[in-house]
Amino acid sequence: MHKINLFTLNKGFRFRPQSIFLILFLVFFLSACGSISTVNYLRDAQEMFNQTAMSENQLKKSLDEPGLTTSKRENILSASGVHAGYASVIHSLNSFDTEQTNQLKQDKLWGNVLMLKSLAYYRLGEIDNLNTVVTEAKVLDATEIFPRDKAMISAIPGLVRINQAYRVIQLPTPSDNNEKNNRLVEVESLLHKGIEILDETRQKNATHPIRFFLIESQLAGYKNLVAAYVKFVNPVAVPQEQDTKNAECNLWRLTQGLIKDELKKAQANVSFWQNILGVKALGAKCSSQ
Amino acid sequence: MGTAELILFAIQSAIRLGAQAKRSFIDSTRARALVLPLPDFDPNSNPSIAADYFLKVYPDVKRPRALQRLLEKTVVIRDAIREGSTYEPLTSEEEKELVDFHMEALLSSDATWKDKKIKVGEEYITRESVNAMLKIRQWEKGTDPNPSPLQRMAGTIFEIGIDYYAHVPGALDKNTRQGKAIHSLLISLDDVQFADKPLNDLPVRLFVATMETISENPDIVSKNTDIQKLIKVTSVALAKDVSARIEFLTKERSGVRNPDLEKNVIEWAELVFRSVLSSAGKTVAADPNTYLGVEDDDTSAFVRHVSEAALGFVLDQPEGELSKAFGWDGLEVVIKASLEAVGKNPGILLDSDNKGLQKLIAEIAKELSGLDNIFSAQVLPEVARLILEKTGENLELLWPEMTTRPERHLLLTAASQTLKILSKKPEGALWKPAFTSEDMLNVTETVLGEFAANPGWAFDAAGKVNDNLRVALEASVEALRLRGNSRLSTKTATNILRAVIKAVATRQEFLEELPNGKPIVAATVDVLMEKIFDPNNDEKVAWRLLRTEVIEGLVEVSLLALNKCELSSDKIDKLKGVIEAQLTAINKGKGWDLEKFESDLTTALT
Repeated sequence: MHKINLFTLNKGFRFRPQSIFLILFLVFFLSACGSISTVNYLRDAQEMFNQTAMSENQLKKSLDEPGLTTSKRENILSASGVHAGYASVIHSLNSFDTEQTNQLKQDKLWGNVLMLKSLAYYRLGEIDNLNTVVTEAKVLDATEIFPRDKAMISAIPGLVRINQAYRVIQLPTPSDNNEKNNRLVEVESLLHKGIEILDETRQKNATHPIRFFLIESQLAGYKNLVAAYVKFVNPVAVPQEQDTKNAECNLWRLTQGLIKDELKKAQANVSFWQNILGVKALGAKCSSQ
Repeated sequence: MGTAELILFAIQSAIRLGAQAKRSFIDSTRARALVLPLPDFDPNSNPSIAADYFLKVYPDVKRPRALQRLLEKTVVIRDAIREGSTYEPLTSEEEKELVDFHMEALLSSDATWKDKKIKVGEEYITRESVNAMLKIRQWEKGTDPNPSPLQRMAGTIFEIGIDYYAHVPGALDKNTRQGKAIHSLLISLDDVQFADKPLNDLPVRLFVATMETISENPDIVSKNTDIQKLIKVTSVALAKDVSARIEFLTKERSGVRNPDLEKNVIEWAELVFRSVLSSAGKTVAADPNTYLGVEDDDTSAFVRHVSEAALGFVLDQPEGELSKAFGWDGLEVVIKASLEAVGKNPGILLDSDNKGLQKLIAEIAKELSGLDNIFSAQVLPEVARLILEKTGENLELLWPEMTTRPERHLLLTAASQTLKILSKKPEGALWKPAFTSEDMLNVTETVLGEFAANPGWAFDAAGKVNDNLRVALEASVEALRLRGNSRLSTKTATNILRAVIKAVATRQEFLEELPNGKPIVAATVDVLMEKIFDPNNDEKVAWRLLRTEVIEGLVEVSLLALNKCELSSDKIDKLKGVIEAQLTAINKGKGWDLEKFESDLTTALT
């Protein structure tokens, strides 16, 4: 019986043992890389979230980049597109079955999932769903939810209040002065509490890059406060001195932080806030933290 | 390796690499930077902000008259609001004009500003600048606790390499010294998971340390396998200990890694490894069964525990304190002494759940590094060596409460007392020189030797160190300080103190107090020093007596002679009489030597 030599297919072609080694190596390596589809779904959701949030931030800052072509502008989602983006993120993250959920928990990705869901619910204004997710996230420990995600879960109640204040400001202006005053009080209360929550979170994460987001969010809150005074008191009225001082300190912290972290590209944001708030970055009597 | 084995090896390697690749993918998902959406706000200008832009942000810019008028009116309105008084508000046209000025400034409109030298907004905000600040990663730079993809893959490849070289015959030449040593190291590291454990560059450091130590000490790598086992036991112990410590440090900081702390751990681990290899080589080779022993839970290798104790000791010192205690050479001395001590008395480890040794070294450093003056690298390791050596010889007596009160080590108490007395600054003394490190060690060695050989004189009924040592030393040092002059060297003084210790250890009556309050032994020294260093002594006396061997001899002979008789103040007076007579004889030009002094003294005391 003619023996078949595994290493010889025909006279001119031989497999060396090393070749078999390499081929098998590659086959098994690639197959072992499989079974990561659940993680891929999460990554897709992260990508969608990033695109949506990026567009939203650019819309808010009224991006007016010189040389921005029409086609590039179209890449920025409209307001309705932003809403659809966050809804899509929620849909993706709610579609994990039990097995996938367990896998995500085992891979220590569940904290990230909850954080993304909570942010998406917050942007969609679905407060009840938001609260459910935040409650679940708050019981995770340091091995299940990691610094940035944990900080965001803490900060969300502050962000929600700033948004709620904005909604109140957008309502039609009452003609009655008492009603105007009531609105001002309501907005001020929401913003003071919201900014306080954000500042507490910032102090607990004083060296983490998330502090920049938290500072900008507080500055956004201050902008809403000025808008409330303009609307409910007088077009040239200003908030209380302490609130303005806090905004100056936050702008100063932003400047210092960007220098410390060598984020030169981000320096333009300081000018942006300075220009739209009418405050300077003043560090005297501000705590460095 | 045959083809089948090679294929199996390839399959296993591929699976391992694939698993690490998956974990890297998961890690990167967890760490991925996300864009965080700002809360809602209206970015547009309004009259209040427009006014503040010119009033606060650019107060010094030259303004058009119309703008100046608007700003002045704004200030009046704000003051009136604050005071609660009436005011004339801006018209809607004025409000719009104010906002227009603001927008023109932001957009650098030349029509309004070309001659005004206004400093407009520095740069346009761009997509890139927005994202630079709002795209946030999971961890701060340098604090991600997960191995990087490179470490995961490189670590796995390294493990595969170790497997190959350690297990494939002929892959490594084990006939050379280096080959034997490296083979031992690789076999030991086979159990360590580099890809997952936070070990940083420890494996490389251990590898280099092994090569360098073998090169510098070729004689420690012999034909037998004991030194190779030493390498194996020590490297495994340290790798596991380092990994556990780094994990603990990370957990303590809520998952945030600190590269500086980790580097410190690894550097000390390397130091301990080198120290164990170089200092332990011969010790272990002399008795390998004892030191390398059987690897099980009950009688684990002593070398492993000594290594762990040394590393635990150096890393658990308060920050900045370690440099006061031991340097590299000191650590080597301590490790060697520790090995010998536990070899003589395994109870140090076995009876204390393997924690006794570390406790003892820590207590020694704690107790002795708190002394006045700095002795650190020279004195402390040697004192530690002496204590460890004697402890090995008589553990039960010298360290009765090892597990419950480790600080109550009797030799440690004795050493601490001795060093404190000798290091005390000589305020207002005639003889001021400070004892050198060598002097202190000599006295301490004598003290510890006498304690260990004859502990009865130093311990009370409860087994605690009594006051005898302190009384003897303090009074004798005081006598030296009071009577000595520049011709008394610290070396001579040291030998005098050693003689004092030996006398007191032999006979407790030397500590009885005379009517003047001095213990007999100190009175002896005092009398002798008073006469020898009398400034009124003739030159002839000084010539004969002020020599090291004479001074020391006079003290020794005096104490020996006194030891043979009933001690009292009367005997001290007789000693004084004899020495005075000797000085008179010298003054008169008569011959003198120590034998004559001894003979006269013995006669006088009988």
